Amino acid sequence: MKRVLAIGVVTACAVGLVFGLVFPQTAEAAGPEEFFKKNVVNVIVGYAPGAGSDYSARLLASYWSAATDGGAMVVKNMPGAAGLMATNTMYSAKPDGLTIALGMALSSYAMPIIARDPAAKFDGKKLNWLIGAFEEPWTLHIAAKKPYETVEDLKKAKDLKVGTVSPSASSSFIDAVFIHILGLDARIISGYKGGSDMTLAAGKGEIDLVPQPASTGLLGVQKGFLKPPVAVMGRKRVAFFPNAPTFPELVSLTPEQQALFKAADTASFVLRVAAAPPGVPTDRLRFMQDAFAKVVEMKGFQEQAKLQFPLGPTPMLAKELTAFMNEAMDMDVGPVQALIKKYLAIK
Amino acid sequence: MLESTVQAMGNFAHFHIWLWIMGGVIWGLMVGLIPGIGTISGMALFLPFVFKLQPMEVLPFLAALVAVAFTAGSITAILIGVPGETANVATIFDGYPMTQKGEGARAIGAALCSSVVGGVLASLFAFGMVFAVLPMVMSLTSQEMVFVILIGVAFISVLGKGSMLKGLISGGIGLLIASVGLSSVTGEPRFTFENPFLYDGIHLIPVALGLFAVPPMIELATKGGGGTIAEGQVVLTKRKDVWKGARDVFRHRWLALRSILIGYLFGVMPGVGASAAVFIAYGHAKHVSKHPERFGTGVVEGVIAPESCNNAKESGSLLTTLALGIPGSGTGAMFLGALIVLGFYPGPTMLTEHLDLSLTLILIIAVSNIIAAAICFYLAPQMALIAKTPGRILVPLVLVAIFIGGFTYKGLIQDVVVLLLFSGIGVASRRLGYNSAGLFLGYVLGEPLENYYFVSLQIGGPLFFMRPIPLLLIFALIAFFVYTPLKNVLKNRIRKGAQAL
Amino acid sequence: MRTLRGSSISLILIIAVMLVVLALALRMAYFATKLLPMTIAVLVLILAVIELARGIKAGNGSGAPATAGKGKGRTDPPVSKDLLYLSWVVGFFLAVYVLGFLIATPIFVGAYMKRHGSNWLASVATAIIYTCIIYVVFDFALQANLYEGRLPIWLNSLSG
Repeated sequence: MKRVLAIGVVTACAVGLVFGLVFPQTAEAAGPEEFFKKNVVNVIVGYAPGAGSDYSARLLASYWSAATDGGAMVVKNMPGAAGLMATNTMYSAKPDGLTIALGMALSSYAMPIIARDPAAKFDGKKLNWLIGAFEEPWTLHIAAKKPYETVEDLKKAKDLKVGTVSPSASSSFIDAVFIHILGLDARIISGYKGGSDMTLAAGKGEIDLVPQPASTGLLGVQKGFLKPPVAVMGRKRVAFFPNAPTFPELVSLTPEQQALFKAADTASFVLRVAAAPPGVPTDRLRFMQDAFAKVVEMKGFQEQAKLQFPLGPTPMLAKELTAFMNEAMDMDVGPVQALIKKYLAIK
Repeated sequence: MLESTVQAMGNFAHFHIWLWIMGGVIWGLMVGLIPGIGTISGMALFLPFVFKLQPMEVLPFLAALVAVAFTAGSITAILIGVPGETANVATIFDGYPMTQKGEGARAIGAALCSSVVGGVLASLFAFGMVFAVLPMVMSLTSQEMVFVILIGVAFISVLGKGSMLKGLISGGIGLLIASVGLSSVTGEPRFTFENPFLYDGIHLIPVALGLFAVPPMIELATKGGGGTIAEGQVVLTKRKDVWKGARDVFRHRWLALRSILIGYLFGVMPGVGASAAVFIAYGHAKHVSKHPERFGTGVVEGVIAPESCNNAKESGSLLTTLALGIPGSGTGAMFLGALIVLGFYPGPTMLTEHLDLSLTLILIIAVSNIIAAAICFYLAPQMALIAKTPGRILVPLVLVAIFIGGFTYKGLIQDVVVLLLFSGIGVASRRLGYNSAGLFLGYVLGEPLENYYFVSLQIGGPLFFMRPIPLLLIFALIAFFVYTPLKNVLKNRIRKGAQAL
Repeated sequence: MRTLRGSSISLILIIAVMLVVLALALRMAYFATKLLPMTIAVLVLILAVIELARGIKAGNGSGAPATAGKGKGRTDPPVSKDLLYLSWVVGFFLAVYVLGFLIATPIFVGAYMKRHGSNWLASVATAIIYTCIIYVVFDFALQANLYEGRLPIWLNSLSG
C-alpha cells in the first residue's frame, strides 16, 4: 500500500512537472515595451550555423537586448530549401510577435512566390517586413590564372566558362545578363555547390568568370584565386573595389537592356531580411521595426558587422523594405530565365 | 617557418590556453558520447560566445572539440552499436561484434590508440607538409574528382558480407536516395512531391542513425528483457584488456598508417564527402586482408582502420579550411564562420601572416587527441561494463537518445520519420542479406559524383577524362577490380606449380 | 504454389520501386536531372531481376544467409520478434508526434521496462529520472527545443 502511494505521489509530481514544462506560459503585458522585455523572441534562420544569414541573425540578436532595454532574442536554425522551410514555419506560427524569420530576400521569400513554388505555404504580400540588412551587390571576377584583364579582353575571347550554382540561382541571372548584353562567346557552367566552390574552381583554372556577392568576391581576391572585379552588377560602386565600374557605367544600356538588367538586379539582390507573420498586433510590429532600426545604428553592431560584411550593415528599414519586397514579388523574370536557358551549357 | 613554429609552441606556455583546450576536450567528449548531440550542434551552441571572447580562447576550444568528438563517438559505436558521429559508423561493423564477444575493452583500446595515432600523425604531417599538400589539392579539378569519388564508390563492392549482387543493389539504392531533392546541377526537383523538406534531399544524420543505430537495439531487444549485449560471453573489463587493444594498433601499424593517409587525403580535398573516408578505409582494410571473410564478426583491424582514418581526416580538413578558406566538412564550415567573426580571413594569409596561429591550431588537435585518449583509457574498463547491462534498461534509454539525435539535428519532426523509415530498412537489410554500409556509401557519394560528372562534362565534353590524373585514376580503378581475382589466379598457379614439383 | 521467401519479396518490391523511379524520371525536364536516377534504376532493376531469378531457381532464397559471420551458433530470431520491436519503435514515434518528447519518453521507458520484467518502482523511477536528464541536457542546457507534440501545441493555441 505504502509503495503504491509513493509511486502515485511521484507519478503525480512528474506529470505536473512535465505539463508545466510542456505548456509554458507567455507573459502578457500592458504595452509592447513590457511584452518584449518579459518574453523571448525566436528568430528562425533558414540557413545552417556559420552561414552569412546565421551570422546576421546572431549579430542582430546580440544587440536586441540593448535596443529593447532587456529583452531577449534566441536564434533557431532551420536550414532547408534555401530558407523556404523557415519562412513556412514562421508564417504558420502564433502571430504574437515572438516568432520571426530571417532569410535571404529573394530565395527565402520572393522567388518561391515568383516561381509559384507549390511548396511555398505563405502569401508573401501578407508578411510583415521588419528589417533588411547586409545588402551587397554582385561583382564579376576573372579567375586569377586566366590571361584576361578587361571587358575588352573578354569580348575577344572564345568559349568562356562562367560559373553558377544552378539555373535558378541568383548567380545565373547575373551571368546571363552579363553575357547577353556584352555579346560574349560564353557558356554558363552549372553545378557548383556555392560561392566558395566556384572561387576554388576559378583558383584551379576550371572556369573563367565567377559572379560573387561583393564580400565573398573580396575574400576570393584576398586568397589569390580571383582578380578584382571587371564589373559591379549594381547601381553603385563598391568601396573596397573603387576601380571597378558598375555595369550601367560600363555599357550604355538600351531600354530593353535596362529592363533585363533591372530584372536581373532585383532577382539576384543580396539582402538579409527579417519578417513576421501576418496578424501580429500593429503596436508590437512597430516596436520591433523601431528596435531593429536602433540596432543597426549602434556603433558596436556596425563594427562587428564589418567583420563578415565589409560594406557594413547597409540597412533597409521597414517602409523602404516593404516597397522593395512587393516590387520584387511582382517582377517578371521570364525574359532573363529565357536567356539563362540559352547560355546554359547543360541541356 | 621556424620563427612561426617557435611562436606556435610558445602559445602553449600560457595557462589559459590549456584551460580552453581542456574545456573543448571535455565538451567534445560529451558531445561525442551522447548520441543525441553532434559535433556541429556542439559547436553551434558555442557560437553566441564567439562574439564575446578572444581568439586564443575560442579557437583552442573549437579545435579541441572537433579533434576529440570522434574519439568519444567510437566508444558508443563499440559498446552499444550506436555511432556518436557519422564518422564512427564504420567502427560499428567490427567494434560492436567485439563487444558482443566480450572484447569491448580491447576494442575501445584499439579505437583510442588509433584515434591518438591518427590525430597526432596527421597533425604532424599537416604541420610539415602544409606548403606541399596545397598545390596537390589545387591541381585536382572536377575532371579528376569524378574518378576520386568513383574509387570510393568501387568500395561498395567490398564492404558487405554475403551476396555481391545484393551489395551492389544496396549501393545503387543509396545512389538513388542521394538523388532526392533539387538537382544540384539543374535546380529541378526530383522525387520531392512538392514537399520543401525534401528539397535539400534526405538528411545524413537520420539516415545514419536509422541504418546503423536502431538495428543493434532491435537485435538486443529480441534477446529478451534480461538479454545483454555480450550474452553468453565472458566480458573482459580489465585495464590490461584495454592495453591489449592499444598494442593491436602497433601490430597492425601499416594498416593504421594507410588508413591515416586515406583520412588525411580525403580531409584535405574539399567536396569529396569526408564521411565516406571511413568506409573507404574499412573497405581497404577488408580488401587487403588475408581473411576478409572475418570482417564483420569482430576483428580488431575493422576498428583500427576507420578510427585511424576519422581523426586524421579532421587534421586534413582543418588545413584546407585554414589555407584555402574552403571548408571540407560541416565542422569546417562552422570553424570558418568563427574565424571570420574573430577577424581572420582563411586563405593564403593564414599561411603567411598568421602561420603561427595555423600551426598552433594544428598542434592543439594533436594535443587534444592525447588528452582525450588518456581520459577515455582511464574510464574504459568501467565503460565496458555496459555490455552486462540488461536489454530492458539499455534498449529504451538508447532508443530515446537516438530519436532525440535524429530530431535535434535540424529540429524537424520529419527527420524522425526518415529515421523510422531507415530503421526498417536497416533491420530488413540485416535480415535479408543486403548491405547497409554499401547503401550509406552510395548515398554519401551520390551527390558529389553526379555534380563533378556534369561539371566535367560541361567543361571538357565527353572526353573530359583524357588527362593524366584521370587516366591514372582509371587505371587504379581497374587495378582495384582485378586485384583480388588476379591474386587468386596467381595463388592457384603457385599452388599447382608446387604440387607438380 | 511456392511460398515466396522474404528475400524474393524484397527483390520484387525493389523491382517495383525501380519501375516507379523510371516512370517519374522520364517526366523530368532536363536530361541532366534524369540521367542519374534512370541509369541507377535500370542497373538496380537488372541486378534485382538476376538475383530474383537465381533465388527462385535455387528455391531457397538468394544470397548468403544474413547470419553469415555473426558468430558461432547464432541464428536470427523469428521475423515476428523484429516486427514486434519495430512496432515498439513506431509506437514511441507516434507518442512523440502526439504528445512530444517530454511526455512520450517516460511513458515509453516505463512501459518497456515494466513489460520486460522490471518492477514498478524501477520502471517509474528510471523513466522519471531519465526524462529529467533529457530535459536538463537538451531543453535547458543545449536549448534544443525538443518537439512538443501536436496535442500540446493544439492545447497551447486554444489557451491563447
